[in-house]
Amino acid sequence: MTPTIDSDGIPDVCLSLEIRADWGHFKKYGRTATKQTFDVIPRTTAAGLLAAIVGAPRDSYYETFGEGQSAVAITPMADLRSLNIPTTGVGTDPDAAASQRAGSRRSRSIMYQDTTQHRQIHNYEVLINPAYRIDVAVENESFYTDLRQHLEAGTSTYPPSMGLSEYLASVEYLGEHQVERLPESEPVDSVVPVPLADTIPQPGVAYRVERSPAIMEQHAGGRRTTRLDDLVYTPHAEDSVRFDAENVHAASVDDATVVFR
Amino acid sequence: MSDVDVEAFEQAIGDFWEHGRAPVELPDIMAMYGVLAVGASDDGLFRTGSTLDDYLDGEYVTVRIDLTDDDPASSWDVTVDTLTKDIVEALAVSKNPAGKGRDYSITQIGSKTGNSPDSFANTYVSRLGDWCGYDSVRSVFESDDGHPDGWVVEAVTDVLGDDETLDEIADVTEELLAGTAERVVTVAVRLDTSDLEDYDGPDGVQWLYPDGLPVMNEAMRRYAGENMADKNIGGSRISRGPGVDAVNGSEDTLVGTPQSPFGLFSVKHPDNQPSLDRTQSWRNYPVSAETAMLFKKAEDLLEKTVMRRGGMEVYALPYFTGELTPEKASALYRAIQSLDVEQNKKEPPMGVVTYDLEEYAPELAEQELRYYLLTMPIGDDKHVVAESNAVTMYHARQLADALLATLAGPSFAPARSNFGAPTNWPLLEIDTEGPGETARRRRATKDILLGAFIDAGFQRRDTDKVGDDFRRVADHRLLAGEPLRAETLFEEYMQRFSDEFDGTDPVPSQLAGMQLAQLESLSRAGLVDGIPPVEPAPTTEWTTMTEQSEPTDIDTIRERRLESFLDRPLLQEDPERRGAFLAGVLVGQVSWYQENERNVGRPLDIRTPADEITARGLSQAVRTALEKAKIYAAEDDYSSDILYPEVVDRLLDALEADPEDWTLSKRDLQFAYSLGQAFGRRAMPVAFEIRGQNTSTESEVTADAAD
Repeated sequence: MTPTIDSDGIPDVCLSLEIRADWGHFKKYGRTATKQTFDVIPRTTAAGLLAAIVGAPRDSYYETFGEGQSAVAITPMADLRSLNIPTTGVGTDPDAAASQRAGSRRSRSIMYQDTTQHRQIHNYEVLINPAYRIDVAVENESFYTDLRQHLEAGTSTYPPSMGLSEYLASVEYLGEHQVERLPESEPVDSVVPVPLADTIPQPGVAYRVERSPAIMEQHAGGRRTTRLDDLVYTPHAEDSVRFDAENVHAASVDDATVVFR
Repeated sequence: MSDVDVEAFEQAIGDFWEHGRAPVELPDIMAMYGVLAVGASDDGLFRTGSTLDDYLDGEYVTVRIDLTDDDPASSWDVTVDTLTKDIVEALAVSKNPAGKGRDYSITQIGSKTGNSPDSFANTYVSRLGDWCGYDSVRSVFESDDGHPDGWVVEAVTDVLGDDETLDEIADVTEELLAGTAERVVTVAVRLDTSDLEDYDGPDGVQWLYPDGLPVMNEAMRRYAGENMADKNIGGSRISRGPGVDAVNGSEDTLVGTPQSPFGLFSVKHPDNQPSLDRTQSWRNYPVSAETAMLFKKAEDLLEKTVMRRGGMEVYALPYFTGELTPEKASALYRAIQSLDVEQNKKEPPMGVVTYDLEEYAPELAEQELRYYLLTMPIGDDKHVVAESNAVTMYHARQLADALLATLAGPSFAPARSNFGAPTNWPLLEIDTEGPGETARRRRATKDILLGAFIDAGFQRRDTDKVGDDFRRVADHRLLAGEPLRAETLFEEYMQRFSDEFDGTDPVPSQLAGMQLAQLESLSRAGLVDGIPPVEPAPTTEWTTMTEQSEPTDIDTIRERRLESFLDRPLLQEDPERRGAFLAGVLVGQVSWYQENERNVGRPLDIRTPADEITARGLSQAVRTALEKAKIYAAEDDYSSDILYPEVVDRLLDALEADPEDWTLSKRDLQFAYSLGQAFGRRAMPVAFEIRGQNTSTESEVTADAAD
C-alpha cells in the first residue's frame, strides 16, 4: 500500500521509526566561525537519512520529499541537551594547506599537506543522546516500498547518522500505521510548524522554537532550500505542544500525536 | 512617542518586513533590527547619512562636470564648501564599513580624524576613479538590465575614469584646500532634466547632486549588493544565485557573503568550515542583498545590547513574538536606543529593557517580550559559548525570589551569622529587609543577569584564556529555565574551594555560605536536578527558637542550631551525605577549639581540606577529631568526657556504615564535608552571639517585670 496525502498534508498511512545516537550535530545556517546545532533534526536531514537507508543517490530524492508528495512528522524522544566540544582540525583547502614538496625535479615530485602546523580549534555544539521518532509517508511508490522493506529487514544501504558521519545512528522500526486525523488543538508530541505566538502556554512547560530547512530542490549542480519552517517544540520529551493555529492539523499515529508537514 | 516615529516605522515595516514572521533565529533578529534602524533614520536601507555627523563644519569637495558641454572631459571644475546638515542628504552617502573599501556611493568619505590637503587629494579624490571602474557600477549602462539614465553614469565615468584627468582634478583640489579637516568628495553634474527618464525634481537645466539622480542611487545599490556577494572570495569570483531568503521566505537573488555583525559568518577561512565552497556559499546561508543590507543596518542597535564583563560579552537582544506593528517597533527601538554599553556592565540590558517596556507598554512586555541571548568571549576569535532564544525574565525573577527567601530563611538566621560576617561577600550581603520589595527583587535579579549569582559559588576562570566559560553557560541555562545538575554544582564548588584554599588558613566559611545560598535558591526555584530539596523543613523556624525558651546555655544553643540545620531533606534523606556533613561539623568545631583555646598552629581542618578528602581520609579525620575532643575535654576539665557531644552522638549514628563502603559521589561527599566544616567553625561564635542576645532579652524581660 502506498500512502496518499490529502490537501491538509495528512497521509492515510505512514512508516514509523525511531533513530538514536550518542551524539548529533545539525549545523545551523549562517555560521562558519562557529558551529551551532539545531535541536531537532531538520526535515531535509531526515529526508537524507531515509534516502541513505533506501540507497537513493545524491540529488535524486528531493522531489520525493517535496511539498504535497510527502509528509514527515518528527518527535523528540529524549530531552534535548547539547554541549560544546572543541576539536582540532587540519585545513583541507588545497590552495592553502598543501605546501610540502617531496622528491626532486629529476624524480617524481609530489605535493602533500603539511599537517604539522596550522591546526585550528573548531568548536562544535553537539546534541547529547539525541533520539527522534520519524513518521514518514511519501507518494513515491518505489521509495516507500524500498524504505519499508529495509526497515522491516533492519538493513540500510548507507549508514544512517545524526548529522555528521561520525555520529552513527541506530534505527528501530516501529511499524506501518494508519493515520487518523484528530480534532483541533489537541496537544501534540511532535514538533509543530507554528510561530511561538500561536502556542498556548501551559504551566511548567517551556516552548522552544527554531527555523530549519524543510524542503529542498536540485539546482544547477547543487541543491537549494526552497522552504524553511518555524518549529515549536519542548525541550523535555514528556511535554507536549498546545497550539491554536489554522491549517495546522494534529493526527494520531499508533500511540503518538503528531503534526505532519 | 510621536506619530512621526510610528509612521516612519510603518514605512520601514511595509518595505522590508511584509512577511510578518516573528524572529526565531539570529538572522531574523538582525534583519528585524535593521528594519528598526531604517525606520528610525532618514537614510533608507542603503544610505548612511548619519555617518557624516562627525564631519559637519568640515568641507565637502564637489567635482563639477557639465554634461551639457560637448566635451565634458575638459569642462570640469572643483568647488569646496563647508559641510552643513542641510547638504548631507544631497550627497547620498553610503559608507562601506570595511576600512579600506571604497564607499558604495560616488560620494567618498575621508578620514574621521581629518585629512591634510595632500592625503585627501591623493587618497579620496582618486577613489572616484576606482568607483567608476567597478563592474557593478558600470552595469547601469553596460549590462542588459541597465538603468534608463545609465548614460549619466557613463559620462561621469568617462571623465573620472581617465587617469590623467583625475590627476589634474586631484591637483586642483589639493590647491584649493588648506589645513587638516574632515572632508568628503562628491560629484555634481549639470544637465537638462528633460533628458532623464527616472527623475522627479524641478525641471530645467541645472546642477544635480547624487541625491537628485536615481541612477546614481541605483549604481550605489548595485555596488553595495555586489560587495555582499564577492567579499573575501578572491579574484573576480562571486557567490550569488536564485533562491529563497531564509528570513523573509521569498524568492530573490541570494548573496553569499552577507555582512555578519557578530563575525560568525565569513568565507575568508575556508578551512574553518570544511566543504564550504566559497562561490556556492549562498546555498549555505540563503539571504538576499536586501536582508544582508538590513544586517548591516542593524549593527549599531545590536551593539547597544551587549554586556561586557570578565572577558565575555553577552548580547541580550529583545524582540516580540507577535506580529511587528509600527507601535511595537517604536517601543522596542526606544528601549534599545536608550541602552548605554558602558552602563550595561552594571545594569544588565535584559533588566533595563524589561523594566522600561513594563512601564511604557506593560501588556506587550508581559505577553510578547522575549530575548535572544548570545554569549561569546571578547576577541577576534569568534566562538559562541551559549545561545538561546525566546528567553524571558520569568526564570530570573523566580530565582531572585528564591534567593531572597533563602537569605531571609532559617539557613541564614539568625542575622546570617551562621557563616560569618556577610559584608563584602556577594549574595550574602544582599539586603533582604532594606529598601522595599521592588528594589530588593531588582537587586537580586540583577545579580542573576550579571552572572554575579553564578560567580559567587563557581570555580574562577581565567578571563584571558579563550574557551568556554561554563559559568556563562550556566547563566544561560538558568535564564532559560533549564536545571543544572547537582553533581555539576558540587564539582564547581570544590574547584572553587581549591581556588580559595591557601594551605595556611581555613577557607572562609562565607564561601560555603554563598554556595549553600546558591544551592538552596536553585533548589527552591526548581533549577537543580539530582538532590532532595535543600531548603530546611517548613517546621524549622530558628528565629522563634529564642522566643520559645531563650536558652542561655551554650551547649543547648549549639545543639538546637545543629538539630534545626540538619532538619532538611538534603541531610535527612541520605545518611551518607548526613554523615559527611556531621564529620565536617566535628572537624570544624574541634579546629575552632584548637585555634581559640589551645593555640594550635595548624588546626585539623587545614590538614584535611575538603577538596582533597576521600572516604578513607574522612574516617581518619573523624578518628583524629574524636581523639582530640576526648583529650581536650579531659585536660581542660570539661564537664562531659568529650567536647561537643551533640555532634559526636549524631555522627557515630551516621557512621554505622563504614564511609569506605559509601556510594556517595566524591564531590557530593566533599561538599557536604566542607559545608559541615564551615558550619562547625562558626558553631561556638554563633552560640556566644545568641547567648548574648538572649541574656539581654532576659534582662529586658526582667526589667519590664520590675516596672
